[in-house]
Amino acid sequence: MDFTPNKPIYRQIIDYSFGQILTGAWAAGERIPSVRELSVFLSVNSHTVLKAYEYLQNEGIIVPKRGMGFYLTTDALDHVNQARRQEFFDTTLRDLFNEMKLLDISIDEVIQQFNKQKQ
Amino acid sequence: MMSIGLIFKGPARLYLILTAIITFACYAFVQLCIYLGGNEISVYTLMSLIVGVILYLGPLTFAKRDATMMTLLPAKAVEKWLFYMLFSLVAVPAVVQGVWYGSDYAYAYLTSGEPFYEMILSRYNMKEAMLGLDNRFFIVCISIVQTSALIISVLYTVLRSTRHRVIKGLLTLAAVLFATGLMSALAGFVVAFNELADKPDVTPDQAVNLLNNMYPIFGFVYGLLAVYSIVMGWLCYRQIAKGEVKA
Amino acid sequence: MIELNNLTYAYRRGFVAIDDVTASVSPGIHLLLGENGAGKTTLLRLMAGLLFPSSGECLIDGAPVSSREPSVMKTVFMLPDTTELPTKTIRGFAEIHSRFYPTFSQENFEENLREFNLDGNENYNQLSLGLRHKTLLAYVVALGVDLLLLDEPANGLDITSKKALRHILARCTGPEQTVIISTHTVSDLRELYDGVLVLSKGKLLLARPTWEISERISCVASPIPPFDHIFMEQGAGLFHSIIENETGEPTDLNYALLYSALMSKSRDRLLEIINSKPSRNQELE
Repeated sequence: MDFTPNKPIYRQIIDYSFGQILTGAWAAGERIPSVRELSVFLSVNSHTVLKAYEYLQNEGIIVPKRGMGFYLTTDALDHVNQARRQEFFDTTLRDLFNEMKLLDISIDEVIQQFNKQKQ
Repeated sequence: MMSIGLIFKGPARLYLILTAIITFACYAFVQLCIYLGGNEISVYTLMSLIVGVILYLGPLTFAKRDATMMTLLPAKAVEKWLFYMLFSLVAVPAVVQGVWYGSDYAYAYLTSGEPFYEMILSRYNMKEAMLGLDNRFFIVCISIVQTSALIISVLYTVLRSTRHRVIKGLLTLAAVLFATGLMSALAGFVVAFNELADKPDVTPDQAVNLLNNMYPIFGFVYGLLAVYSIVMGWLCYRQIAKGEVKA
Repeated sequence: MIELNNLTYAYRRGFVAIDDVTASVSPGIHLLLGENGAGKTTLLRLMAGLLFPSSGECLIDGAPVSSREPSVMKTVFMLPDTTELPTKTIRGFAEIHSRFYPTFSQENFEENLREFNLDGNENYNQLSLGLRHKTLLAYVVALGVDLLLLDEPANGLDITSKKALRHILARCTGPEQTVIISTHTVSDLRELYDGVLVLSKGKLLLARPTWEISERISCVASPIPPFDHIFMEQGAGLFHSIIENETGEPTDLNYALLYSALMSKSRDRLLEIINSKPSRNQELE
């Protein structure tokens, strides 16, 4: 995998994990690659993968099973969507609001464009 | 130690084969000269020189080596040292002696004649009585000492240099040959001068006397060479165990 | 665990190439940075037992490497930038050389060759520099030694090969092994590094795990320079700066930027911040 320099690697690993979950490559309730396995596969240092897994764990997407590794939770997909939605609000929308402020664009103008686009 | 040998398998095999071929070729050339009725003594001397050089340059087998890799090699320094020493001081000379004398006795057997070496030796014995068993042993000893001194000098240069090992090895050989030759000549000259200074007419008995008196001096010179060889051998070990690899 | 205790190397003329270096290098893949002549190669050679320290020592799992005891030598290997092979092929070499290294893995070797698109039977002397490099790397990384020292390993490798090298290193470096890579092109293997060592004029400025550094400082690139930065550099229309990590959100380390910062007047302040703050202990699974 090629990592872009624009986003922290661990975030890109999270995105990668989301991709695996959304496509079903990682199945709900099943074991996912260990920290080392994934770090080898992606050729990154283990700590980066660990950070990503910590995030996934906090979001309720994966759960560690003692002595057995990490497993996907049964409702992982929901959590993923939830997390992606949250990320949208936290980053994409935040950046949008900043741009809007800079360019002095009101929310009504945005709604107007949105409706125009829907047609 | 065998494993160390494997690393040099290619060059070692090549050198030994080369040694065998050249030794045999030289021997064959001498026999050819005898057959054609030429001056076999001078041809023999020349061929001996060629064979000698091949003998002394045995350590060049190790010239093309990666110093970093060899120093990193997890083997005792003693093992590495033993391998270098045994190959240079035993294996190569063994091939030379084996091929030369082997060919000689084989030839003598095939032609039912006298082995060439025996023939030469009896020619050199101008007064057979002079060269008794003791002196034969003495000559063999100084021959071994001189050969060892030359070989170890080349080995040390090859081990110590980082680049141009072959050239430096050749230069070392030339230098030590020159030095030992010079030493022997000087020693001989000193003795001769002492003995003959007051005696303008040299009688045959005095000549024999002279020769007998030279032996202790030669013994001293070659004693020095023996010490030199031991010191060089130790320096080779030290180079292997404690040599730094800068680049 | 690799320990450097007051390691010093001085030439006879008095030039001190390595000046009182002390560090503990934990297992993982580490980047060694330093300007030309900083002493990187000297340090690597000291750690391999090729040079003897003027004072101090380098211990590999408690054993001094300068003793050159076979028991220690089989746990370390250094690959310099030029190597001659005594055999025609790398496979031939592996057969005779790997006998000395009990940790050698034939499996890893085969897999490494495959990843580099080599079969190991190539005539080494007829290969280009880049291919020779790959051949050696495929073998050396499979040795499985506790301490592997690589001097500019990605030199002469094309982009695909650099990726392959990254993967090979990730795959073959076990949890107990240490790899130290000295290079000027930090971008090649940047995602892989577990730690970084910075050498300047023989002195060790920094030897830290990557994540410890990321907890304390952030490397950011922005169109306008941040308000309070430790160090800043302009490049490609952006301002690259090192700031204190206020948010706790880790950013990737920009090693080149870190290096520039350590070479600048901001060095002391940067080191103060990196070496301060108690760290939250991260245990690897």
